[in-house]
Amino acid sequence: MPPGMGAGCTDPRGRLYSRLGARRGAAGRLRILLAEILNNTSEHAFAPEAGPAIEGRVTLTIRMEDGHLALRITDTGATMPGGCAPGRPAPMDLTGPDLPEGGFGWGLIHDLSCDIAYARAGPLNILTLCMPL
Amino acid sequence: MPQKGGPVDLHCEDQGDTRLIRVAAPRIDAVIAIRFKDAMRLAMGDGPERIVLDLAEVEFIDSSGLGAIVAAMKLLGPDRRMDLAGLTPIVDKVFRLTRMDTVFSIYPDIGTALASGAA
Repeated sequence: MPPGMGAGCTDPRGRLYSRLGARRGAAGRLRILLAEILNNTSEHAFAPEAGPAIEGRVTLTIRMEDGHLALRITDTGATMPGGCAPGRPAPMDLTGPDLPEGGFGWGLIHDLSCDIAYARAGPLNILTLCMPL
Repeated sequence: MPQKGGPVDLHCEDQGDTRLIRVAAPRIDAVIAIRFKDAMRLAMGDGPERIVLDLAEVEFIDSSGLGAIVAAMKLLGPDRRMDLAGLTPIVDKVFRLTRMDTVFSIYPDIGTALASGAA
């Protein structure tokens, strides 16, 4: 909202949200989700040690479905280790002095989405998932 | 990932036994995480026992940025501590989802954080 707009103005994002049937914060959740997924793609699928495919193509498709967004991310990088998407990580021990400094990414992805599926089709990694609106 | 760009902009100010460190950046993400930790190491130095990290200008954080804040906090060792202030909505969401909100004392703003400093 531009500075100076009073509280009496209708927030365009709020209007859009109610038209889409989205809960507050949906845009923020989508940003976190995409940041984690696309970071993983750039850091792992195209990692120098993952093979020769340090360059390639990443596509992102977001489709609005009933009550959720259907996301499809493809890339031409290295196959996901183990051939499937990582499950939800075990809860971390946050009580001791040796706190984890990483490993939060897939936890966030599982927190924010559902129906996560991975497939390898020829040269493509295909990750599909849903984010509730 | 290549580390591009200059140093991360941190502004320090000491108030009594507290060093306020204001992050003058809109994002703490994978692109700047390593530089952020290095900048924090310098900014925290061997200053006061308590650090308050002011995140009011930070609009977005990812898991790498979160890891960098935890790493910076661990650099302090057992005799110093880091509190957080001014979490914007997405930053707050990431702290709550990862349960890191249970690790740090989190204040709505630096004023509240400083007022609670005697605790």
